[in-house]
Amino acid sequence: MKSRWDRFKPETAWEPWVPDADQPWDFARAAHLYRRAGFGAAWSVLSAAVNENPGSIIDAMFEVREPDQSDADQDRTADVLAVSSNARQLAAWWMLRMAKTDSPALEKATLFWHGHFATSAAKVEEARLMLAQSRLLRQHALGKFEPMVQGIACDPAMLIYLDSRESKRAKPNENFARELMELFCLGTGNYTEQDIREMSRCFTGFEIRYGNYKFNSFQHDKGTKSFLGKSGNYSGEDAVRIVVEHPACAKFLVGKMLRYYVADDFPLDSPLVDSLADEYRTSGLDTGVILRKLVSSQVFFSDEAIASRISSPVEMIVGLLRAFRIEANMQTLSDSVGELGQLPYFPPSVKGWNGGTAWINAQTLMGRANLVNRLMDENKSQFRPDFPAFASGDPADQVDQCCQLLLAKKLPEAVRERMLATAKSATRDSRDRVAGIVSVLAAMPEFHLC
Amino acid sequence: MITRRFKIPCLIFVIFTFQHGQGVSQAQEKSHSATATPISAFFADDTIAYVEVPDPAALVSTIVDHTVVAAVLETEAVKKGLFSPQYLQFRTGLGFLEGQVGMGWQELVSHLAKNGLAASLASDGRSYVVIARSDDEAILRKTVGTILDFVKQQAGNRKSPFEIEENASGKLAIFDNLVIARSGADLVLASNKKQAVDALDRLTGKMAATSSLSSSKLFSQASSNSPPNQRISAFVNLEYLRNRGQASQLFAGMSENPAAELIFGGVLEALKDSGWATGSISLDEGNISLALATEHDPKSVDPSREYFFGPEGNASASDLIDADGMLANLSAWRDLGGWWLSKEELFDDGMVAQLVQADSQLTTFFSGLDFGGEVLGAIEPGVQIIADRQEYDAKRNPSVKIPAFAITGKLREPEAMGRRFKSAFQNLMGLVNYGLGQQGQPQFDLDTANTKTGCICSARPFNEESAPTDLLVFNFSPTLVIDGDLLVISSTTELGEKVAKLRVPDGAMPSVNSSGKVDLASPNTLLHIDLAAAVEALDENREGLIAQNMLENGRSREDAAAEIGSAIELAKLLKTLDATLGVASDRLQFDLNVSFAK
Repeated sequence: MKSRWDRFKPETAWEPWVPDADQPWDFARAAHLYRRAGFGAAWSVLSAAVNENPGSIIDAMFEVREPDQSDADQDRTADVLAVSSNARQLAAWWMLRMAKTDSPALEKATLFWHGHFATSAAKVEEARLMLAQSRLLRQHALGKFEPMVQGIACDPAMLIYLDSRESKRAKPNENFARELMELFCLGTGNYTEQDIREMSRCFTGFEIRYGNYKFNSFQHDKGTKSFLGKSGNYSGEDAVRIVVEHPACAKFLVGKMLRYYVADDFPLDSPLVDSLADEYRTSGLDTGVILRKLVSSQVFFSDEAIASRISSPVEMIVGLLRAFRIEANMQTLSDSVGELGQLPYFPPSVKGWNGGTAWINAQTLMGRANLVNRLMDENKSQFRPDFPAFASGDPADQVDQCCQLLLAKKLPEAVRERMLATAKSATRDSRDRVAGIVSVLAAMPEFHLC
Repeated sequence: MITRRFKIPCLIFVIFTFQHGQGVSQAQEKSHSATATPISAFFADDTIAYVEVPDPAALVSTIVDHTVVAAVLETEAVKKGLFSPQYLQFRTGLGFLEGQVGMGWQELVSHLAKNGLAASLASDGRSYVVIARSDDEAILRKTVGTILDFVKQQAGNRKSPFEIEENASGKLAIFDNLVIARSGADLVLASNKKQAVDALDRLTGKMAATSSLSSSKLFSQASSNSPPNQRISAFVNLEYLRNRGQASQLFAGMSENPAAELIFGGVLEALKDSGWATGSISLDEGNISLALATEHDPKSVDPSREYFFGPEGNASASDLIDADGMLANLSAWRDLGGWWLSKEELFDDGMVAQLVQADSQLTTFFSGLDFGGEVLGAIEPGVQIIADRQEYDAKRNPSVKIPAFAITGKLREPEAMGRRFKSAFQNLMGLVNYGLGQQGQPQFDLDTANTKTGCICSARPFNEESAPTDLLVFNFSPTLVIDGDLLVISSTTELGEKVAKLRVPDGAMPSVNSSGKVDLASPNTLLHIDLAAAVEALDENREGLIAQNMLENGRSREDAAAEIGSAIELAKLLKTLDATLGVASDRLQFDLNVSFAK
């Protein structure tokens, strides 16, 4: 079946994109990069980016830095919230972190892995365990894949979520082994039911004590297990290693990344997936390396990729907070985002969020527009956009610059003219007008693409 | 709506005080000095709410010169506000006006309301009147004249109606929803012409004083025994509100919440039949005090509220325990058994059903004893609640630090009931341990020590090396102390033992009269809070406050930390809070005093 990606050759598609006269490195492409690799940015950041080389910006975005004082402060704040309250507050805190962070690419990748290793606080209940898992994901989000899966295999929140802590020698629980292969590493068709039964014995004796992982050797099955064509007295760690080394693993993960970073409908059977998966494999499943390659590529900056995703509720709201430098009640906001289907720490199932067109239906589309409307209306005094037209007050410039900041796709000229007419007649106050423009934009389909 | 309507005259009054007086300081036309007639005599007898500032100049002076206000003005948040465009605009206008007037705004206020300032809300719930009695007719005349010029111009610009009328009582300017009138040295602001004319007629003696607020029976009754040195006083005609069916929940005499009933049930009982309520505020360099009172007849208390007031309607709480350095003490005369047994009369059917269910569950803890009658009934009326800060160490250092608290009372049958409480405590802790064990949390290690006169049952969280040290559970070591007839139930062993040791040999608790305690014949409830210690407790939880602030305002950690830091610094200006609720001859009175740190 033909797809719009067929014009790319697998050998060169992932080579770094080089701007030219047809596809220049401009405000729109800088906004695309910041939206996809992170959650968008304010006008001043995007304007500065246009004057730099995209490669150096991407390098800075994906640079793994040592934790500093601000990380320690973030951890302290999160610890207090996790001990004293429920995971809903933690979700609000995470959205605030996404809105304020200087490392948006790291947070974006952490959100990706959170959806991948979906674990819900609705079942886990203990916020501190959810926080610990989130830290594990953040630690490895731009690092090697295997250490992350090894951590997930004995992560208390995951043990509770998949009932693995009840997996005993005499009665192994198959949930984790099944999801490890089906949802976390290989995808369907790459294992058998017998593989699941055998592998589940590797994860027996995994328990929790005082909120920490504890290995109970008395409950661990020390017999020989045979799965995925291998046989031996494997531990849980061995099982994870064997699965991660499986040839299907890299392709499975790259497919998910492409749909998260490039296009909702990226064809998983495309040879482009295979070529990037080869690179991933070669890197030793180093996610930071492959994501850097991905967002630098010709595919990523192509017209096919721009405006080819529907922004998730979190992406939409955090993007707005960052673009307009809005400060709002995060608890209320995260609850509202939850009503639109994406409350962090509360994925709907072990499959995570479906994403793509699943974000949009008649109800959520109206809900999304209403939420933006409410956010802009209630926080007029708390937004400090830095685009020039906000200060100058020119309605036409305000419409255009709001569109540049928020839309991945140009508005049809007729629509723009109608918006301008409304903006001119509505109010003389710059804040009111800008809030009005954003509210009108939120009701348009273009606003929900990223 | 009422608030909005009051804003306009208040604003006008402030503008008056700031804008006018230029050139009049030399040629003073002295008016009447403060007369013997109270300012309330110039308000209608059907007034439903009334506020009086007897000496506005003194009030302004006290506020402006107060060290706490000075400290508030020094905070970053206020300083930031002082640079807001709105404030700078106001400041510019004010500076100009002060220059025009030739005197500072404080001095102008002292002239314009020298002989009193008061405001009322009429029985329709919408109409209002404000009267300011000046000591200098010339200043007032000039002020009113200038402000009317300004208002006239504004009305012209907006094409609003504006007219000037003069009658025998005075001159009226009528526009929009405001009437400005002057008679001699008196200024009247009103929401409509009738209110203004009536006020002028009273001020000039054209309307009989017998139909005024000061001559009304309710107001007279309410005003008797007013506290001295009040800066602001207020009166509300509750009888009128009740007859109109307003605030019906307040007058229903029932609470939906058992805990609220236990604390405020007596107030609801009084409000049920009360004709009036009064309030007053006093302020000096060292204290700010609030006194609220409402009509109350101790002899007509409903039997269901005897648990609150006692059989005679005037039972007194024990003096507060002398617990130096403790965070808070509360002493209240409450018959807990009576409270529980009166549930059918006090609460609605839904709440009664919940309490009945709780009763049957709690009964199991006490081996079949009826919880209301036999367990709570075994505690003599009168309980004290104490809160204290805790010490933590490296092994026990919860992220959120909760003060220890204890409740103490006297047992009627110490020997029999002491055993029952001990057994119930052990049952309860066993159940808690079961739940904690299921969650993989540290459990409580139970210990019982028998003493000559009772026992100490305690439960400390069992802290293994592998357990985290910052869990909430480390705030608690539930403890039961039985010492003769003394019963102490405490959230920590340290506080439980401390409270028990405070008992002196004759069996009574040593008492202390806190500085702000108001002397009432029958103080039913006493509360003392060491605000300095409370601020320290808050400071220990600074991280939690910062986190909450970040989430509520969506701001960075730095901004939230700065705001919380300022708030804590401001709170350090407070020293103690004392409150008393009690019964006087014809009223239920609530007094609150906050003292400031020197």
